[in-house]
Amino acid sequence: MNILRANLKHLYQRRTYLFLTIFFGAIAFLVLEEIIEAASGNKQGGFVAPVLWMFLVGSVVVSLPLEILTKPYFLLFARTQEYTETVCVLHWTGIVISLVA
Amino acid sequence: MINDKAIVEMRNVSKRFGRIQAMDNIDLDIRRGEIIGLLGSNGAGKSTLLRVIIGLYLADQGRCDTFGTDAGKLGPKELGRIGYVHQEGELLDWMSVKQLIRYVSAYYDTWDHQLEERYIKDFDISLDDRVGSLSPGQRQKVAILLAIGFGPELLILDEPASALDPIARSRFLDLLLQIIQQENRTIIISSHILSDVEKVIDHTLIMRSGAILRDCSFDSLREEFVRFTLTSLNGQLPSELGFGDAISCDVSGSKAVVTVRNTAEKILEDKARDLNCEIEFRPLPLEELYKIIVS
Repeated sequence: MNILRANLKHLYQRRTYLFLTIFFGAIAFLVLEEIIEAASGNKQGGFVAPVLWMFLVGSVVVSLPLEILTKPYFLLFARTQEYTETVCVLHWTGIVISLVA
Repeated sequence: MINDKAIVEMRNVSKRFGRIQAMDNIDLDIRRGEIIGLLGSNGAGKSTLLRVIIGLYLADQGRCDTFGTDAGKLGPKELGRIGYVHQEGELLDWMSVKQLIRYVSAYYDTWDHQLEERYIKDFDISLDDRVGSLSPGQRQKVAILLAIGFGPELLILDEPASALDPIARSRFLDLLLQIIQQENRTIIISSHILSDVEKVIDHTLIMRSGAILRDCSFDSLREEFVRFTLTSLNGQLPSELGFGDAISCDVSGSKAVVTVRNTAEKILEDKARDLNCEIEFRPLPLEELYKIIVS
């Protein structure tokens, strides 16, 4: 199994996060609608909701890798460096996209 | 002198935490295939030494090479050869045992699924339980499975049995013996439950206040210190028996229990004959040896 995939599985493996994943997933289509409306010029200030949604989803997704990366035990896994680099790339990509948006 | 066969080489390694000198100028070679008992009281520096070996702590001074690489720069290749069971039993509590095994196995190309299945069966591990709800014994079994599942050449056990009750500890040791017999691994066991450790080790490392007091084979340690009982064949024994180099000598009526160091059994037998006594040698348990060396 791919390391990134193994880490994304935490979102449903941890019960609290399973609830949050379902919750944020359920309102994703509303957020998408906001983006489409704002992009077509029908609604002013429509990007506030997607940005807020992205911030919350980002916080949830990031908190688990951070929790794991702070455990000394994790640092001994053979390919941990590979995963840390992937997480860093994803986080910076997310930050850049948010800033551009 | 650096040993070609050593998988861990420490030279003049020191580590300090504030005012506490956790490691003080340590030189150490760990050779392939050794089963090492790392002994010492709390705060002796055992865990620090183990963490320097695997790169979790960096030495303030000196050099530590593990598998020929600076311990602070261990890459996937070296880490894939090291299994570590830590004192705190730190695992990901929210996962089920099965999920945790799958998660950890994702980090290792060499994960042995057959070995995993065998240990799950042998250890009697329940895969569906949440890790956070496991008993200390079950938790330790999972930690060991995760540490050996990829077939590490160096297995480091930091107080592996400290959380276990006597029965679970005994089962754990049986299991450890099984692991040792099956594979030719280098194992370092840190513990202060000495009666347990002595069943499995062939080498001893004794630490005190960050320094290594003794680094020798268990057999040579047992040969160095001898305890024997003298039984007089004609009444009371004199209070002074004349064992000038005795570490301890307790005389009680016609019997005496004496501990000596570096004295050949032949010499002791001759001396017993002179005193008109019967002599009976008893091997010293590791706990006694440890007390003598530390004191």
